Amino acid sequence: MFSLRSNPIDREELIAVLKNDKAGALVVFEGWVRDHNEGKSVSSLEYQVYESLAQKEGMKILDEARHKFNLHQVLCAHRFGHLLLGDTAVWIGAVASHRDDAFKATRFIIDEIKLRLPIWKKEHYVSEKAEWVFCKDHHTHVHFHEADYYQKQSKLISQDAIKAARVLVVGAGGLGCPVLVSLATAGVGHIDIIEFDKISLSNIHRQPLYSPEVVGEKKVVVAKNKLSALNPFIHIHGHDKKLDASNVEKFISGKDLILDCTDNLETKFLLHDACFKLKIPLVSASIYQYEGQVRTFNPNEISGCLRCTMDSTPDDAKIGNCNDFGALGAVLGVIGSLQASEAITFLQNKTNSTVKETYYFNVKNLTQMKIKNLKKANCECCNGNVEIQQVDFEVSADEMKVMNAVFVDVREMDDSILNDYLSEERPVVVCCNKGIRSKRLVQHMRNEGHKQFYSLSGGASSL
Amino acid sequence: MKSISVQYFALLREEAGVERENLSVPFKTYGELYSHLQEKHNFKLSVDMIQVAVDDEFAQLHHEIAEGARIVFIPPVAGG
Repeated sequence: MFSLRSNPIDREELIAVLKNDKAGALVVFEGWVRDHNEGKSVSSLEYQVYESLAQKEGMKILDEARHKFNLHQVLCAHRFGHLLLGDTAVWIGAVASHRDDAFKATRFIIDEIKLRLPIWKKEHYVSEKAEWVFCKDHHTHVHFHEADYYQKQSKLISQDAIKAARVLVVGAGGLGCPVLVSLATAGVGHIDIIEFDKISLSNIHRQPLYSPEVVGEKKVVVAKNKLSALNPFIHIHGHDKKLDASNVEKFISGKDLILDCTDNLETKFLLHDACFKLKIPLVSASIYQYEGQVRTFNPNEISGCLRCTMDSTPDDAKIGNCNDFGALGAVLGVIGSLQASEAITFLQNKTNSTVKETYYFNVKNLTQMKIKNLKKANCECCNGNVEIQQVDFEVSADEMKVMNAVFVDVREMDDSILNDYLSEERPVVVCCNKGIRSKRLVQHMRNEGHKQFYSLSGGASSL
Repeated sequence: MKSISVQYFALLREEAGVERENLSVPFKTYGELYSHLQEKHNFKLSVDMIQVAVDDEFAQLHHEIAEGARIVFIPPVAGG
């Protein structure tokens, strides 16, 4: 039973109700009015309560505790009105067969009450004017003020511009985690996240949105929940998909800004080309060991593109990825935060420093380079004349399940293993670690005329 | 012959084993210079995958090498 009282709490009366022959333990918690808070002397307290909601929420908390900790009986009384020093403000008694449950239950109940009950307190000080305090012990979503959340950044940025913005973050991994935390807490109003990967134990050291108990779950789901908890004032949409040629235009259209937090060149170039085609600005970042780079592509400004300086699309198989060369959380945190900061500046000013210059930072030596971007005359890509090429021999884990395919895991095998499947009539899905080697092998097989081969997109990490 | 300095970035620095070197070279373009260095250092990446920056500005590989140029060869980087 949960009760709200305007009169003093009588502990003997409450304990009498809790008497139970099955019980081996009674644990009582009492919260008292003390004579100080944050350095000020307090003479008395006044509690205001939103009664109907508090009553309902209080019952809910006790119900949860009863089930969670096998309680025989539980009671809680909360005061409101004017309380004097030493008065009991809240009283909790939990009765269980064993003491451990009773201890845990009282702790759980008081923590939940502080967090969830819509109760405000006004402190009367000995030598100062009384005031209602915003106290983290007494907050609930019912009376959060959005302006308080952004108070410390209001001298730096215009919150309205950020709040109206629609951004897409591609990848919720090593760069995506610091980027998403920074954008969400800054108050970017609409954040879409696209990520197909699941959480593995080896991700967590550099991807602090995730923790060991969610290994195996979808990154996009966990990230969305975590970010929504960090900032309840923004809209976050997660897409459990791999970005590819068939969906890239759909995902980027209508956005104000795209953030490339991917880990492979194929997706980086796809995103880059699609952004120039639809004239949507893109902030791109990458790391290699201790070094990182950040560049913003703005198709609406004459500042060049990747195609201005690179004749062909480089092959992922030739440059490797984080699995090959390693990655450190601190480095990704620095570069991801720079990327997010560039994005916020762009949303504020419609341009930023890395539109004109690509920024390179070596986190180990603390050396930097700023290289002025080059615009090639008559660059087709800059003009938006880009063809988004469809790669149709990559399949997702879900697609593979319905194609009655032979599955070949080449992680521990030589390339020549595929020769055993040259006359296979069913589809052959090749799987490697990240989907890069398998793609190269399948491309080769298909060039030789063996069209039964498919590559598992994302590799074993997507299974 | 032109006196130049060459700096390597990321994967290239690792393959070259040095961060920068000062050279005297007879080549006309940055592309030709890279091909020479590719052979010298056994770089895996072919010239069409490389970006070149000269005196803190991106340049094109067919541009002519300037006397005293500070050159940086930058491979594609994709980690994230």
